[in-house]
Amino acid sequence: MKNYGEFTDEALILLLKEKDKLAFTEIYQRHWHMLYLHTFKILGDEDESKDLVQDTFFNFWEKSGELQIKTNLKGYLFVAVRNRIFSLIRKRKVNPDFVDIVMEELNQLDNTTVEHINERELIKLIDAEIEQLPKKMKEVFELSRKEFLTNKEIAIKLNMTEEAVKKQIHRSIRILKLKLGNYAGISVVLISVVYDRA
Amino acid sequence: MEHSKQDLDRLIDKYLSDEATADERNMLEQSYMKASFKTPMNDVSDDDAARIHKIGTDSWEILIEKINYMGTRRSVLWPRIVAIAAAIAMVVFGVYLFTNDKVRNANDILITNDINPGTNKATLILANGKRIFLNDQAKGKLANESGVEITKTADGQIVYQVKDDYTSDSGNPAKMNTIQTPKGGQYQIKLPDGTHVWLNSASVLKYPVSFGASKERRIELTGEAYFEVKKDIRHPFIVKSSQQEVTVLGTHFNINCYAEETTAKTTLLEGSVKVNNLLLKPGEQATIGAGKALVNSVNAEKALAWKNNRFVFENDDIKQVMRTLQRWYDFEVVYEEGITTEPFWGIVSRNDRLSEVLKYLELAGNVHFKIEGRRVLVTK
Repeated sequence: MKNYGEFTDEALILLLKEKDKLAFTEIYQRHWHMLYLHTFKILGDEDESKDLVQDTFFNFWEKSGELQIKTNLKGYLFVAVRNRIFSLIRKRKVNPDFVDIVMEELNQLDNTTVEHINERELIKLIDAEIEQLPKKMKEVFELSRKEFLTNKEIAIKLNMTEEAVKKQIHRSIRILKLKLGNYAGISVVLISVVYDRA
Repeated sequence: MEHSKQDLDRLIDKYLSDEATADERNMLEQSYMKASFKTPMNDVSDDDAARIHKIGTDSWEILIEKINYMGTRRSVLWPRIVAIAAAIAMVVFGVYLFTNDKVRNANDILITNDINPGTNKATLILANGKRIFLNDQAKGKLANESGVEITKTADGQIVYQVKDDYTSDSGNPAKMNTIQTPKGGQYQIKLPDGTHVWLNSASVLKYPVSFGASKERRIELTGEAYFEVKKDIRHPFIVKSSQQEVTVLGTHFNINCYAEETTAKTTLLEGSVKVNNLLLKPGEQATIGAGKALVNSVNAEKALAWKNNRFVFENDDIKQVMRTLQRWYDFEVVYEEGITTEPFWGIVSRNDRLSEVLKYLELAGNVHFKIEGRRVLVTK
């Protein structure tokens, strides 16, 4: 969505709490590829990966009313996916080669205190993984996220006219103004500063 | 320290049930991230790349359908809707938009008089040829026909009571009744077996006076109707229209088979039906006609929109839109040369006057309307 594309994660989360499907769609567009590629790398199966990520997003929607996070969508969704993968490791549904590597790493960590991965660290690690993608895969990643779902496709599926979408955007902006109040320097309407789409 | 697979399992169990210590959590998280980083990924071809993109968009569509369907089951907004889904969150959303969108610039559409929306009206034609006009007013016993008593309840339903001492004359074919709605009419009826039918405008439904005599429950439909079929495995429920036969086993579905449309569409909400030879699952729609027979997954709310008092246009060209409106508002259309071919989509209330609906269409696309009596002129 054109204008939703310029909302920050924080704004999207606030809108999502109101069960805003356009906000949900924007979040999906921003993060689906990262989650899918990560999952596919580990599971090795297209359908399993698709289902896992889909379940994650569905669950995310269901819980959107009670979200505790404020800004870190990327990390939150990644952890949700990762935890499902932990569960699949238990059920022996994960590529055994990967599990072996996890075991190796586990064994290399001796009794010294292991570093905690905080929010920012996690994001850096996720980004590093993306950086690491092979060439074509990375192109897919970059290109698809820019033109994932067209405005028309979204409008059709959500049974909205483009006019209705515009109205929704205006409504959302009003809601955000109310909720985010007068934070100095934050213009809720159209900012792309904080969110890095690269 | 050597860890075994079991150790890993236990670690994961503790982690997922929140019983792991901080150290244990860190160990698992770090190992995972490191392992992930060390796991190579093969590069993809252009085809694979396109496929990944499609997986993402398809997945989103399914997700939205799931979300919409979930919303359906929870909210019941309109009292007329009996057992099944009423408005979904998105339809409510559409209503919200439209009720707030007060378009009052009456100068834009030239009208000599406005055209009102349809109402509950139909004609019941009994097997003996007798006609009974049905509308909102008439109540009480309507007829007493071959051992079946037909009454109209206070909330507008036609109900059949099969008399206990009725025995069918096996020599006679089952007598048929016909209920038909004009343009601008719609009606609900309960068939002798308890099946609930909502009949849309400009439609004809033929059904036997009593189902008792035959092995199958056979009815005929032209136009559009939504069915909630009473489950009876021993007597399959069959809806015949010109292009197809739909065989049913106790379910909720919508059939759209107007003569002037080239295809018949059957949309299933719950249960299971067979359309000619195609088996449908909930959320699927069969399209028959014009040399094709296909099944795809659809947004069932669109097919049902009329029953929920909405028009939903989804990638429809202006002529399709007008045909749909004509059936409800009952008017003629004249098209000017060179009108738009672009598709329309959106939700409109069926309770609005025609001028309001056309106003909305004007906003949505490159089209203009003029209402003159019972004729609408469509221009660029």
